[in-house]
Amino acid sequence: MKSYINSLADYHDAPVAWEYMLTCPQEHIDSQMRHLTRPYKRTETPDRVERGDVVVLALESEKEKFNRPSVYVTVGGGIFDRELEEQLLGRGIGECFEGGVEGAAVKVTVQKASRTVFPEPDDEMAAAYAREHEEFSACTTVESYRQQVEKNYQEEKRREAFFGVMSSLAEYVLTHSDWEFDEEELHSIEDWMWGEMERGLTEIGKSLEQMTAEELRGYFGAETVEGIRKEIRNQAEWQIATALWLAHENGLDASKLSLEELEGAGREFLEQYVQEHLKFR
Amino acid sequence: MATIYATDENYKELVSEGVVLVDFFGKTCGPCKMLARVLEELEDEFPFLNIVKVDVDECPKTSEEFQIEGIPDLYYYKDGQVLFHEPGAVDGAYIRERLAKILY
Repeated sequence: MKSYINSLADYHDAPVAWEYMLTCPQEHIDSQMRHLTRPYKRTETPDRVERGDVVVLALESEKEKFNRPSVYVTVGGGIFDRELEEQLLGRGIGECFEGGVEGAAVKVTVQKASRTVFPEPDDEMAAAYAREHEEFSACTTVESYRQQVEKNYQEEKRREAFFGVMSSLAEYVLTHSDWEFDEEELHSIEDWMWGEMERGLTEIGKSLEQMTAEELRGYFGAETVEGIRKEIRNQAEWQIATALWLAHENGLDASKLSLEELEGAGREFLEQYVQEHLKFR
Repeated sequence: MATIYATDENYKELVSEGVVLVDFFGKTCGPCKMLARVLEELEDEFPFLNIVKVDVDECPKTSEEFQIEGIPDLYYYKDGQVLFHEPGAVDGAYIRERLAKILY
């Protein structure tokens, strides 16, 4: 490779968190328990509005968003307006009040309210869920299901921590080092990436010219062709820098090898380092 | 409205009115199962939301019409018009942001 390292940061110096908690939060267990009880959930009409209830409101205000004859809102759901949702707590059905949002007055009438109620999970529910879901097939009691939920959570957290630290160390090295990129090598990777992107678009009957900014962002994370070019440039630099770093750590002379030949240079040194230093509580 | 499973025949009718979240999925696809859980939780919290699930193997015509290349694939409709399209398994917070814009 013609690209080379001017100065290389040491991954040992990267400021990363090494200690992680594995305690499964009660909130996570509760949300997972709902998978057992969901088929048995029922709807009730509450006396007073509580967080999580769904209300139908009539709103009158100078502000367009708060001037509607009928709107469904989940109280505490946070997707309508948190300020107004808070003012609904404790209200009764049919109650009318003067609320305020963003400094403007809003006349609010609570037309309807409903509450979804989940029953307490029992072993029958767990057994039914086990029959339908292979990954929980051995969990035929609530207790065994809960244990599996905790185990899955801990495995996921271990995996997240491992890959998170690996990624942070690599990012530290790549962003704190100084690289000399060869333009020809960059162009070669950029051309290949651009070609692959165009081929992919052709396969699904699309072209860059016809795509909206929204579509471009969805597919490429950039809303303009110029933005995509910049993104591809960054990726090409990242690819070369990674290859040079891994070559160095594996004792290979990158100047005598091509990018393709360097693809075999592994991250075992980094995996071992991370595994030795990660701590879980 | 609870979650409804579409067919090639009733798809257009199901998305023709109101705000509808359409999930193109496959039975054996891992990321689809993750998204399914996210959608179940959203349905618990926002039961007035319309969720339509399209099994790509059971609905080949609709999947072809939408040129579904990868799953899961999420479409946001309002009164029959696609407002957003999100390929891949997105998280609940992201879907909420989208819904806030569409619903209100």
